[in-house]
Amino acid sequence: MKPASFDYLRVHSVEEALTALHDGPEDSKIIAGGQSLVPLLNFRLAEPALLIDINDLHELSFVRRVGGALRIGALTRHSTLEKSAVVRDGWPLLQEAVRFVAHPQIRSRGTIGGSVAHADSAAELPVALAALDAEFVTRSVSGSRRIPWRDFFLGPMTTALEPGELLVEVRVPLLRKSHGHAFVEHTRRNGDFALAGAGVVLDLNSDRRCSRISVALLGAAPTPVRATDAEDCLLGAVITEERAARAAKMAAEAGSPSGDLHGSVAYHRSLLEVVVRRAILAANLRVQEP
Amino acid sequence: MGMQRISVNVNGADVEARVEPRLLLSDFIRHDAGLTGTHVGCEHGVCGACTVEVDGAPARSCLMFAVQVEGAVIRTVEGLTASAGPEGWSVLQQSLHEHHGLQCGFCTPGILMSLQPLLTAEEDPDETQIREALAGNLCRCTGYENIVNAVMAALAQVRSSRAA
Amino acid sequence: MQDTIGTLPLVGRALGRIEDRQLLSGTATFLDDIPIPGALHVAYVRSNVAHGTITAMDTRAARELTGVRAVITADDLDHVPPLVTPVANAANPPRHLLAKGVVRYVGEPIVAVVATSRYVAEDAAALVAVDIDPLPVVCTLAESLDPSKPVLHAGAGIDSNVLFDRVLESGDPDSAFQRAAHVIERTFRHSRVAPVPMETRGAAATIVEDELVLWASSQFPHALKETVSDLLGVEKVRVKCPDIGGGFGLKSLASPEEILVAWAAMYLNEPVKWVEDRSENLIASAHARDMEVSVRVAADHDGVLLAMEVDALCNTGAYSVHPITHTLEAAGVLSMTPGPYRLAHYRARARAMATNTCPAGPYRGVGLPVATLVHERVMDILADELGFSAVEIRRRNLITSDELPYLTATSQKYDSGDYVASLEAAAEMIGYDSFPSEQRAARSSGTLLGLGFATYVEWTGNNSKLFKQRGMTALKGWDSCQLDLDQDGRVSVWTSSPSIGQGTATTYAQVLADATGIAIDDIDIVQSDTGTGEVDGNGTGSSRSASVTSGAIILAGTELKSRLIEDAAALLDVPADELQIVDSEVSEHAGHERSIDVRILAGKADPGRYNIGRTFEADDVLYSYATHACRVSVDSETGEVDILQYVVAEDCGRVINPLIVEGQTKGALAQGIAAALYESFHYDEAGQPQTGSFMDYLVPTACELPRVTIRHLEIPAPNGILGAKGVGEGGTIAAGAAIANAVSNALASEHNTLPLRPEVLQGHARAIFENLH
Repeated sequence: MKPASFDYLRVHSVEEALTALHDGPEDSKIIAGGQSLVPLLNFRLAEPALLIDINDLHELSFVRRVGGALRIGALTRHSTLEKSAVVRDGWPLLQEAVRFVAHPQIRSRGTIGGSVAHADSAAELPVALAALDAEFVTRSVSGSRRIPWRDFFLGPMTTALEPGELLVEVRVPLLRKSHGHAFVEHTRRNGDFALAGAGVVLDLNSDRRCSRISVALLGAAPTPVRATDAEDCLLGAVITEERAARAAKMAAEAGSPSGDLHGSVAYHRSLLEVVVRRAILAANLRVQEP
Repeated sequence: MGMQRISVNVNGADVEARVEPRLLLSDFIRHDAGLTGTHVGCEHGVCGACTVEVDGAPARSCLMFAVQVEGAVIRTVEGLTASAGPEGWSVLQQSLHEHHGLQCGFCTPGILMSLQPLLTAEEDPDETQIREALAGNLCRCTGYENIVNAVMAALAQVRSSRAA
Repeated sequence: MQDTIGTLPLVGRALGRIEDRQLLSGTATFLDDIPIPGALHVAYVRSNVAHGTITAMDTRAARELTGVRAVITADDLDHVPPLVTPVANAANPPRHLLAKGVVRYVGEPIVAVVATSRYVAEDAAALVAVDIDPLPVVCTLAESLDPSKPVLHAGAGIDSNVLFDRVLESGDPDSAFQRAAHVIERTFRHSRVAPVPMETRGAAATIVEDELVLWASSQFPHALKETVSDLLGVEKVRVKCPDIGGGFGLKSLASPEEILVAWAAMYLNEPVKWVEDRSENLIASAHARDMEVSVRVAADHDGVLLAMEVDALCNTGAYSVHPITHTLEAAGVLSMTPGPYRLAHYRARARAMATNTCPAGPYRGVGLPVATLVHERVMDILADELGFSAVEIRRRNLITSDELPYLTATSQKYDSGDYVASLEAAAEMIGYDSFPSEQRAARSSGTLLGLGFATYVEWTGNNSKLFKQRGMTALKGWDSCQLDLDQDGRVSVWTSSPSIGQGTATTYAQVLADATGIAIDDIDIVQSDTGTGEVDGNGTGSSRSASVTSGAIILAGTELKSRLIEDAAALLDVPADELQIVDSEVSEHAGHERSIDVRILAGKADPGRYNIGRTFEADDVLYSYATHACRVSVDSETGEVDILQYVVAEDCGRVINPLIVEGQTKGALAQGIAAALYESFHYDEAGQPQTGSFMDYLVPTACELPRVTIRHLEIPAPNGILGAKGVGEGGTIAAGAAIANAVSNALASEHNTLPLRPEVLQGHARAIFENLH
């Protein structure tokens, strides 16, 4: 299990990275944390001609609040997100989700940009970012783009990133201070990719009716998706056990999970229902008094 | 493929080498730096046997390339031993011995390197948190219970020496 | 032993392990750590097709790659006969070191590339083009019985995929079934699992003068040595073991990959090494336990077993494994399915079936985890059907201590212990009496609790007679040691059973210190090396080291002690029977007036005087046993099982080191739990592995495994030299059965297939609550 040969270029600025992507061979690959890429290289499931190492792009490693919104540099490590006070105070869903990503030794290297750009259909961060209505900022030698999450994830390990384009930043809009959140997932072992997961963010108005909600699903489709039926079912309602159960059922029925060694399509769908319900109820409980 | 020159500090000593870009950090540490205490158990980032500290944080050395640690500071199990007290063992090494927290010992160096942050953290982890911190290291011999006991005892000792 | 040497100051004490120092400091030497300057590296080109005919092979590009020293195919090995592992009354398929003409499982080695590094070897392996015409695939047990499917080894004159078919009958089962008040029929299944030592397999060969030195991560160095010597026709072969990172049975094999390393080193006259990677280890080393057992059981009104009929089918994979054989699991189930229960009438048939899957090999417990699943599920099913408790049904059927020694329907002579006592102890430890009310209360609040038992008896310290009975004619029933006292007063000990992680160095040192009076700090247990002295024997495996190899150490140690005392008696002019050895000093019993240090004796002795080798083989098999009990909860929404409490009441006879014995039990248990709830090696219909990485093959982490409470009954084996019985496998043997019983109890339904699948459990759990509402 040794990787095939490749050329290696360590870049020191975004411009240098973009030039390398532009000028390099077609099968160039960006390496950031490498926690998903290197296993593929070791199994020789990927054999890029050139690895462009962006680990020196310290300018892409930041977590900051700008005008109320959250901006995360693509090279920000999972372990940084995990400990970030800005994330904890304003977007705790992200913190809850990132703790489900593998193990501490992986989180010390893995990056948010890598997780988003790799777009594994069982990855937690893209789902949390879908719940948070995030958008992704990319750059290339010809300019910059802002891509909403809905337009970014196209399929399993397939994104809207064009050749020559580098993901540089994740932006998450402001949340109400009082919002409730929960990320719930089901795995066979601690740290595994989840069989089903859900990220929920919601606001309640003064009579505890739901005034805003997002329910994002992991394992319901080849990409992160929002459970719009479930969201509609909850919006304007008081979130009771029954209401949450009904919304969860709708989310599961609308989802199209795949079967695998761990269980049939029906089993995966039932797990979706469980995690969605648990996430809605947990998020509801966490709403601070409006 | 072009060789690249790297200079890296391993356990306090500067190591210079010319390496192929694809050389895994685990292979560099074991075969170029000659530090065979770091073990290779799966080469796809699950078992944790190859865990070392890179710039102070535990990382899978099978998921990094030697060229990537140019200028970095690496610590391996051999460095842990050298930095320890008069018995030559760290608190956790001693505790693993006393609690029979290892059998074949192949996974042990990775566990030692993975748990260093836990031992120096401000927080006071409970058993569940200790198990979560251990979950990135597979052990096939012990069933983990004795490792967990050893970590708990080591933490108690670290805390009491801090309080003193 | 107590009779021969008096007190046992160290045996029985929880001494910290001698071997820990190097393992903890990172200075241990595992196979890939051995410095071998200039060693070349092997990578295997393996079949990516489960069954097919090799029509063409192109190795030119690989040969031309810089750094490649050899590209070896079956054509290069024409003079090397195939491996054949003989079993009486069985079909014994030949296995070529590299596939010749036909491939029979995904992962079968076809080409060996030798290059200057593993990286280059893998580059070259990727350049080898092998054309394979696929043949129909025989993957499952059902397919192996299907006459329309191909016969895997027809070319070797073997006309069926049934390689082994044995029937064992005792008493008069037919009339017992006729008069039985109650008969049950069930089928039990165990999924295929992989042993997965954290250190994979590996071998490194060098030529030193005219000797082939083969370093191997091997449990059976002597068997490997003999296999290499016989197969390759090399007279002088020496197998040396480095530190070994777990074996669990897998490393008792002399595998084609290791033998080929030896061949390549001789062919190139250069050192050659192969370190298996995890992908190879999961897909192509050896698997285990892929079995289906159908039983009919007769009982009377009182729940007393009358007769049992067993039909066991074992998926043995594409080839035999050497020297363990392709029949080991089948033979194990055949002999041990009656378990610890009184049974007069028994008929069993066991078949080992060839399929296009990775060969089945020995894995902790061999056959017994499945036999125990069968007899323990049968007990609970009978209890449920007849209205007895799980404890009561076992009380009525367990062989009592008064009945021991007990000759079973399968000719096992259970030697000693108290099976009922282990059951009662486990019941007390698990809080059996209070459980039913707790279970009811939990259920009314929506929680599904279950409690399960498993009692088993296990053959350990196997002797040659038993190996022969099990069909393993190539296995030795003995082990041996050689010890040497040097002039510094240190004793070095070589044994035929390598240390693979079980702490045998500490165990042996404790035993030897007590047998001789030499201070334990003066004892060095050296890792196995077939080139030392007269050492020979089986190796480590099937729970034998602490009882059998310790036996050899006691014999040699006792002789050393008597020579030391004899020599001291002459020097001190004291009658030998008035002398003792304590802490490496020979002294008078009374008052220590005259004494002499063993160093001085060693300095004065003739060369070889204190170099002693001894061999030991148990006259009778030592039968360990235990009762496991656990409490579980089942998440009715996800079907996941949580083990809330796990207890073991076990008897491995005299406990030499409680720390180590409990470590063995807990570790073995972890593997049993893994196979009960998590691990399962899957193939698709085409014979393609689906679980070839640690992402898919679910070895449990610290978060999935419970704490365990252990109680020792410690009833010494009457026939062992030390009273110790084997303990290495017991934990694995009973865990699956105990958990299946607990889950069946929680869900009030039968769960007879391992691993327990959450999806299946979820269905039953939901049904319970739907019925309640």
